[in-house]
Amino acid sequence: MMNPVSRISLFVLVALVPSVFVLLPTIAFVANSFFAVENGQIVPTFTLSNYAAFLQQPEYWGVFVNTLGLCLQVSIICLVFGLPVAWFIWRLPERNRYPMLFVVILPLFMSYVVKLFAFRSILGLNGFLNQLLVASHLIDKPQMAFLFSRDAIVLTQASMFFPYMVLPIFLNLERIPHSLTQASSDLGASAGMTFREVVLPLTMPGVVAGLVFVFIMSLGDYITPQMVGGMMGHTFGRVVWSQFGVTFNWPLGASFGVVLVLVCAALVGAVGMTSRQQRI
Amino acid sequence: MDALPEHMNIMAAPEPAVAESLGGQGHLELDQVSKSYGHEHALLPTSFQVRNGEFVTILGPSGSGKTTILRLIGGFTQTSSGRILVDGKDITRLPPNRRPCNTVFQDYALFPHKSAAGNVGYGLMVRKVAKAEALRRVDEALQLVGLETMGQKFPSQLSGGQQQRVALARSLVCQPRVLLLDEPLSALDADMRRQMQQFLKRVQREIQTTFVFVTHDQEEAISLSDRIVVMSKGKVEQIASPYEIYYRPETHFVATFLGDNNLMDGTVRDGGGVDLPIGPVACATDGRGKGEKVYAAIRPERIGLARTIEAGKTGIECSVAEIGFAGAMTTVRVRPNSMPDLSLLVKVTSGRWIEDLTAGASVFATFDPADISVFSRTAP
Amino acid sequence: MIKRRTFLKTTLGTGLALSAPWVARAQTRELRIQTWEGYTEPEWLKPFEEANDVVCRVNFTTSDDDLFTKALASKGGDFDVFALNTALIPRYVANSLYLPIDPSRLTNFEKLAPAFHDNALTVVDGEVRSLPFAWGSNPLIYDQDYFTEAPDSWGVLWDPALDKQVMMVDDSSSVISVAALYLGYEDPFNLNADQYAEVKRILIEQKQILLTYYAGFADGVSLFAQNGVKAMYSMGEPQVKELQAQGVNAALTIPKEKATGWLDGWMLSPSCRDVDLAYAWFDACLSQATGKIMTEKLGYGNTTDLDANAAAGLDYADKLVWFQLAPDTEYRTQLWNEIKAA
Ligand SMILES: Nc1ncnc2c1ncn2[C@@H]1O[C@H](COP(=O)(O)OP(=O)(O)O)[C@@H](O)[C@H]1O
Ligand SMILES: [Mg+2]
Repeated sequence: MMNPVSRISLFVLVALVPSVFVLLPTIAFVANSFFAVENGQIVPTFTLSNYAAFLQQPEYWGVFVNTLGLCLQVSIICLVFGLPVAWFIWRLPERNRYPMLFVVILPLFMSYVVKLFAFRSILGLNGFLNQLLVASHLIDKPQMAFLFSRDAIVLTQASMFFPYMVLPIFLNLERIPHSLTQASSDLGASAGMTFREVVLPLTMPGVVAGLVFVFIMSLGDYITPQMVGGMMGHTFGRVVWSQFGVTFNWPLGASFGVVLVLVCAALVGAVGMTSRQQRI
Repeated sequence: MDALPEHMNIMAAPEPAVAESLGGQGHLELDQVSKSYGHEHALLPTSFQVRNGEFVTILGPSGSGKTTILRLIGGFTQTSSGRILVDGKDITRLPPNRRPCNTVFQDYALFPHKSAAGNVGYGLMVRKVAKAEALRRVDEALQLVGLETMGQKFPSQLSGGQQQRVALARSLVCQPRVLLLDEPLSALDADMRRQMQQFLKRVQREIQTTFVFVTHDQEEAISLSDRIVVMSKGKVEQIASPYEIYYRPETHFVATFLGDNNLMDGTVRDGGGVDLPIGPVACATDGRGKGEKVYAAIRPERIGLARTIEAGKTGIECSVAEIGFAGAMTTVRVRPNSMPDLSLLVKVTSGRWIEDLTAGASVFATFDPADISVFSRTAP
Repeated sequence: MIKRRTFLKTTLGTGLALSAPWVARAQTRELRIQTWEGYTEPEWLKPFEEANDVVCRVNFTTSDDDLFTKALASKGGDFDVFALNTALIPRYVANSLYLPIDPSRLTNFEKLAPAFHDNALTVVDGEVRSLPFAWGSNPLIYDQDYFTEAPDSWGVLWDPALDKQVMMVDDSSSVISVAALYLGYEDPFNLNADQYAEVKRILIEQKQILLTYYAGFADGVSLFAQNGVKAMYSMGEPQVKELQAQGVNAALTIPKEKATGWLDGWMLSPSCRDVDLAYAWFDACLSQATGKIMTEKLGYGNTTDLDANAAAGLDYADKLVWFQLAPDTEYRTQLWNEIKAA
């Protein structure tokens, strides 16, 4: 055993690095959100005007609300497809399980931008999807409709963040002893009932983790909407980005960032509370 | 914790009504059932039957195929060949949820997100049993296992023994024709284990459900079972009552797996009896032909020791090699004077004369030839 | 602007080794040049070094903001001369990060073509602040298979007949400026409230038919090629070549309402250690030979050899409105957010 003094000093040492590199920038960021900009220079005063601007101007909070809806849609679509896929992989024989999982998460190893360009060339007017549909006589001439719409954002984000849904659910499933599903079946439950009564409740932490991952990634993504959203591509991520990358109004951008962080934290907190009540 | 509650007197029988609602006996038959994984034979073709209400134990060392048999009966593994029948009905191809069997898993497999009552009521819920009746039956089952006050607790709040009993109640509430138990006591400490053994035996007697119980513990098998199936390397060695398994082993494996034994090579004599290193012995040879190579086995407690020998009795003159006092019994290792290489283990009731015995002393070893069991040396 | 630089950095990249810093030697004279890649090509850098027995230490600028931060921090002490977008001159003037240039010390100053000789951005109150060197524009790019002759107005980007076949860039200052030009406003970088309201109205109206706001140089090219786009606001002339490489029969034009353009010039640092040498470098850059090579090699417009410009199709410098810093970028960003959220 270490004596308390050296234990504490070790802790301080280990905690120092993350605090310096994570905490300080965060504090600076939050502080910035209370600053003002005068003549293009950031003035360190204390003002709530940035937050007021957010609440007063519909082109900020309106877009924010819309974006939350979009992220929710993406998360739910990921869940609807991700849960069965994770479950399917989990049910595979051991020999095929990890190769299959690898296939599903393989896109994660690809660059984000490359994937976006790939999506765009698939969905575009001269793209693969249109060629396929025209060749199979389902449509008589290529349609622009697949790209540059809200649906295109949802579809693209859902595909890109899909592995982030499958992975936590799968890892959670892996932690469920097979004897539990066998016991359920043994006690007379059909496969569907076993899924509903045993697998699903025990997978809730993974489901929740997946939802939170996807939601937050979608919320923070300011590139996909621009790339595939067309006129619908104006999401909150882009509003924040415009404050940092175009106007250099960091305080306003920071206040938007703080709003984002608070919403995400509230989300994670709420979700954590509900899953604690589940006794898992 | 883990002592059974006071009121759970082991001798006390559950109410007849309770026993009835939980009971259900079935006749189980395995007909040339086998299982292989690739080239590995987990279970060679095996046949045996378990009668209504019988307590049968499958006994064998780890890896001998015990769990495999149970999983085949439960339906968690598909047979490679053969048929499994319950009450004459072929269930070989049925999924687990449609088999009239229930399993108590080695790790209990309780649902962590459901209370004890929720676990016990699970089988009733999936069968859509009416709520009131389900509640009553869950209460009865919890009462049977002495956990009527623990229904609202979650598995993580229960001790090992309590979890074990919840698992048992959960299976029994489904009124299985056959209850399968895979080493259900192996995770418990020795004290708890002994109590649970008696508890299990009592429950089985009262509800008269057919039990197929798996263990690698010989004493547990002997004290609980009506019959024992001894397994080794995916093969059934012998199926018999505990007494027969112990005193009438039919294979070298059975003779040596359960407790101490004296094993000698022998050859069947012309006209009955066996030639042993200690001389010819007139024991039963079950019609084996002259010259057949056999083993002869005799349990240490079936050999007596005497200073002198009465006229007309057979006795082998030996010298004492080792003495081990173990309370009521004393084990003595002796070597026949005619065969100093052979050593015989003898267990005798401790008596005053034993106190005077010293290594090198001369004694006579006596036995009844009827206590010698003979089995083939070229076992299949 | 920045997108153009990135593009150049990835497509060019030959012949830069000579300008690497390690060439510096202590005994000879030294000139420290801060510049965008492409403005110190060996074709004119090497002869300059040999003629003046000088070693040039070249530092490449990665972004306008980095350069400004760096200049502020050292009061320009890191370099003797620097290349800068003329739009940004006021920033440097406000912080005294420049020295006025004396044209009488330059033999080639009079070689500057009229559009650059008396440019309002570079010559203020008779003070020469920057020597125009390279320029480009944001023309209208169109598909010649669709347009039999070049469209003469930015109005095609508002033409309902081209529904989902026109594009703008996703950049507030570009979009607002071109809308202001289309509306006929003299100075697209200084707009009053009424003008902003009009700009906002027509940009919101344009959203009805716009395919998308494209994100960058290469993005615009690939979207144009993949989605049957007929016309777009361009980030720069090289997009035409890229489109042609992808099989699009693309061409550019400067509509009658004019187009925005960028103009880079050489400036003198207040911490210049060898002013004579700096002037020698300016002269080398303003020689017609240098301008010709640059236009031929890199495709930028030069400021001295109009024939070379014309040969490269860059004959429209007088139809451009050079970029300026708008005094109200924050308001423009807010307007832009409002337009996009509408
Ligand atoms: N899923 C499986 N795959 C391959 N071999 C298995 C599998 N399950 C069991 N076995 C093999 O079958 C044999 C019997 O196993 P088991 O029935 O679990 O033994 P026991 O329960 O008696 O310890 C062992 O050799 C084991 O390795
Ligand atoms: Mg086992």
